[in-house]
Amino acid sequence: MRDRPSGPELLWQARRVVLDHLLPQLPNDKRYDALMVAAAMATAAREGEAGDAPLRRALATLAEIDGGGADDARTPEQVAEALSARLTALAGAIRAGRHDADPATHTALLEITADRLAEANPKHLKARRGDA
Amino acid sequence: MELGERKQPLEAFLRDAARTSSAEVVQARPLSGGAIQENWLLDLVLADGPWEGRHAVVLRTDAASSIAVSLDRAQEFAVIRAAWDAGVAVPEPLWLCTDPGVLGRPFYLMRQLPGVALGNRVVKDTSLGGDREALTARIGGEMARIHGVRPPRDDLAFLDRPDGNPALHQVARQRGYIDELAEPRPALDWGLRWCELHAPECPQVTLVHQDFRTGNYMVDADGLTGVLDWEFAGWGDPMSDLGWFCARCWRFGRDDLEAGGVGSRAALYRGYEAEAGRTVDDAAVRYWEVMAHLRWAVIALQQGHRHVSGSEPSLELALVGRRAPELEYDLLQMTAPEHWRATGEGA
Repeated sequence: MRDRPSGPELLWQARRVVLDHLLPQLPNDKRYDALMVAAAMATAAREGEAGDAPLRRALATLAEIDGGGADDARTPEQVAEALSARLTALAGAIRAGRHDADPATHTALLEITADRLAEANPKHLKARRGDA
Repeated sequence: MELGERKQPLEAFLRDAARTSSAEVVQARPLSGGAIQENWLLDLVLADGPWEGRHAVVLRTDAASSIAVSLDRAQEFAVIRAAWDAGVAVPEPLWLCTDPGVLGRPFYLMRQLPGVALGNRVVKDTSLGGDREALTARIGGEMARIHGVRPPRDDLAFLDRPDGNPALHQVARQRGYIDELAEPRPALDWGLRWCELHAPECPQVTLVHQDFRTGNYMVDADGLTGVLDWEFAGWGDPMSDLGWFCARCWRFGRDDLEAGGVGSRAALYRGYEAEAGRTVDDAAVRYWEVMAHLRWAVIALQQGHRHVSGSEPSLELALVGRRAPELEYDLLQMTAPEHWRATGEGA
């Protein structure tokens, strides 16, 4: 167990410093840099909070549409490796025309992409879900 | 970076190119350019000759690292010249230098256009661009003029030409790019498979800009002043330019204004048809809007890869790379199972 504040807690607070204290002091031509820094910190913080749960979820989703049984992945490295293998296999099968218009595949891809979006750009995800 | 010691050789080149006894670069200011080029704004005084006088010109050269798929500066210069000759609103192309001895890299000069290009500003600041529906129709007209340039053309022989159907050619290209990234993207493969099965016919291959979107043209208070950023031009399906322009990912938050976040789709089509004398194939345009998300996603991943590979550490490139899921999500929504035509056969 690590000390608090955690990595994500530190990042969120550091981001407030960037946005609330530094940004107003910056000349116009440096504002974009500061906004990029803040955006990067937010993504990193959300990743830290999520841990490898989204990867394990993706792995379970893919195992389901593959029908080949769950992966025996325990460590984060094993999860990453198993996920990469599943994604590669699925990409190849889709390209070969074995998942054309398949609703289960489509739903799985949407879920996996939504998890990535929740870390990289949750606003976009919220806007699109509002469309539906 | 300063012009510094490069000022003298540049002035010597300009003396020859502009056939003048004296060329002086009074001022040089770097412009924030794309990730691929480096642009300078020059205040130039030519003592005599055909271009005698003071000129505001843009010098465009390759940045230290560039991506292989884009045109080099000599090719880009030839495309802009062809567009200029076809009556497209582009910056007037002036002089090209392919001798690396002058600035270390090839470059060309074009006349500076007045106005603003920045996509967010063009969309949000309605004091720019004049009447928005007229602006949108004008953009359609400019596209039609670009598409009036047809192969074969000796001066444009270097342009990529699709082998067979342009849409299928694009599918193959994007698959190749994804494979080069060596990172599985099944959502993109899903979209590409849809594109493979729904490729529209293309009756006539033409010059296509391939990056004509809000952000890549300039407007002043009255309207359009010019179309910029020609480095992705090639031969292709003219409807692909309309699709790229209308794609939701290029509307800068104004989803309701389907033509680039600035106007209505109807105005764009109207302006296009008036200039081209042909009707727009709406189904094909919408197909190319799907492809636009694919292409932009792949470009985003390529940009991110430039950072990840260590070849060009950059926060901007890194963040662009992380935009891929936005495009993938929209792509998946556009290619939901109900949008697949029954093909009547399995794998």
